[in-house]
Amino acid sequence: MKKSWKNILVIAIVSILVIAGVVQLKGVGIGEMHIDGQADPWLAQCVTKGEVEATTWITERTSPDDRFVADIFGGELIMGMTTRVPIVGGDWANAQNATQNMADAEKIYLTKSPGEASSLCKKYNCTYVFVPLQRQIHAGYGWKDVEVTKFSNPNYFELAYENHDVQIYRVVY
Amino acid sequence: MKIKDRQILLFAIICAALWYRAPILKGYIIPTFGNTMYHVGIIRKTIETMHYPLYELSYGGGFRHFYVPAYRLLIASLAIVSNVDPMPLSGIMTIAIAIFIIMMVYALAYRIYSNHYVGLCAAFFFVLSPELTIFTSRALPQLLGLFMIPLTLYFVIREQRLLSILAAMATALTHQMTLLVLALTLLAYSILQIKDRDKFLLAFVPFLAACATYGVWQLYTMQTLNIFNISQVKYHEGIVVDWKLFARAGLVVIPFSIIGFIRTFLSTHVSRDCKLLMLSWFVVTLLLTKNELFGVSIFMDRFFTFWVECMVIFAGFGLFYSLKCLDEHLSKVET
Repeated sequence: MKKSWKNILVIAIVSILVIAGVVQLKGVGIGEMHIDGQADPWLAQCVTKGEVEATTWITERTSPDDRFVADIFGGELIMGMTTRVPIVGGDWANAQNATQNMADAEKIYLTKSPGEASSLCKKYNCTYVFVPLQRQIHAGYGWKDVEVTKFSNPNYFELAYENHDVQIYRVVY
Repeated sequence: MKIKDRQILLFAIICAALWYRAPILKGYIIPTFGNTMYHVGIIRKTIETMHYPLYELSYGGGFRHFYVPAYRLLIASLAIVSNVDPMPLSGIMTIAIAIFIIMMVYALAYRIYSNHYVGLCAAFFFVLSPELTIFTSRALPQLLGLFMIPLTLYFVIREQRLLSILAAMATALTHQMTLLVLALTLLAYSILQIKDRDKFLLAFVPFLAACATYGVWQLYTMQTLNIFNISQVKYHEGIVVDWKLFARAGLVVIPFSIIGFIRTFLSTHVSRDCKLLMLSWFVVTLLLTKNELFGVSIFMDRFFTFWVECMVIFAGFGLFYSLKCLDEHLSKVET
């Protein structure tokens, strides 16, 4: 067989491999048929733009000693951008009661009782609660909806910062 | 200097890898899955205090660190030198290190099979593997670990004794899971070479150096050599690698890696040392990936990434061999 034909065959084989590989990486959608990519979802940002913007306020207006209630992604954002300490997120290797922290953080977000949320915040000496508005929270036990209304009770929390994506409440001590 | 076909092809593969990873820098923040921002936090703290913190920011803070520092110190040093914030810099370095890994896989495959096109095929499969793409698109210490393993094995193959010791020590300070993969691979290889004193020591000394380095670091940070009380071990963090997860190695990678694996050990062109090293790497990562079968059940899915890294080198040889067979077969066809 002529060399040029062999080259075409090699290019065809490699092209098929490239197409198959890219479909698996990025997925494909033709009409109603859709194949999900396996790599793309792992590049998600999880937190919203407004949450990232809020970290500037945290850096400028809170003390390095302030502690935050946040979910895992919010907590890691706060750590990454401000070095403030959240009650969940990061490396749990040597944490004393990491699973308790996760359960309590989730309870703070999910409970309808402002008193219960406040006492759990105080258990960890937290001064602020980071409340995402445009996404669910994940404190270690799956994605859940936040019960936001309770944070409006001025006996327990006061609004310190807000934008379209997030509210930050100061815990009333 | 004449640019050769293979250099253009390698450049094209790197461009493809860059194209896929470019969106990392377009977002308002780097991809956040897998604790990426936590590492940025420790990097930022290091820059602020000019001291690598001994105590955690995680989970309420106030307890001692477990993590090793090399990746974070690398980013922190570059952030200080360049005056770029560690968050975007982590994204930039993710792309840079990913490119270095691809080139390292190319170099190791070339060194093992003494053929540039096998290296190119391995780099090609690296770019098409979802598993390797996922772990080379996020700002994590494992990213650097995925570079350190082929680098150290390259030095072992080249019999660069000092460099292999230094690379093994650096790996020990890069990422604990990477260290375990490397240490066990070196140990397995040294045992397989036990009849040849020089070759035994070539792998065994870096193994000892890596273990000692990590031991000293852990004594410094955690003040104990015991790691059985950490949460990852206590709560058996990890996901079983079932067939669905296994497919993430790459549907185009898997068949060629099987061909490459078989042909490597049948080939008379691949040296015995290279065969034994690849066998050690493959078996160690396979056993670590399926560690739930031995009742361990820790980080199976994370060890899987290192198995896939080994698989793409076999796959590179598998594709090269298949194309070579095809070429020989077609040459017999009369036109």
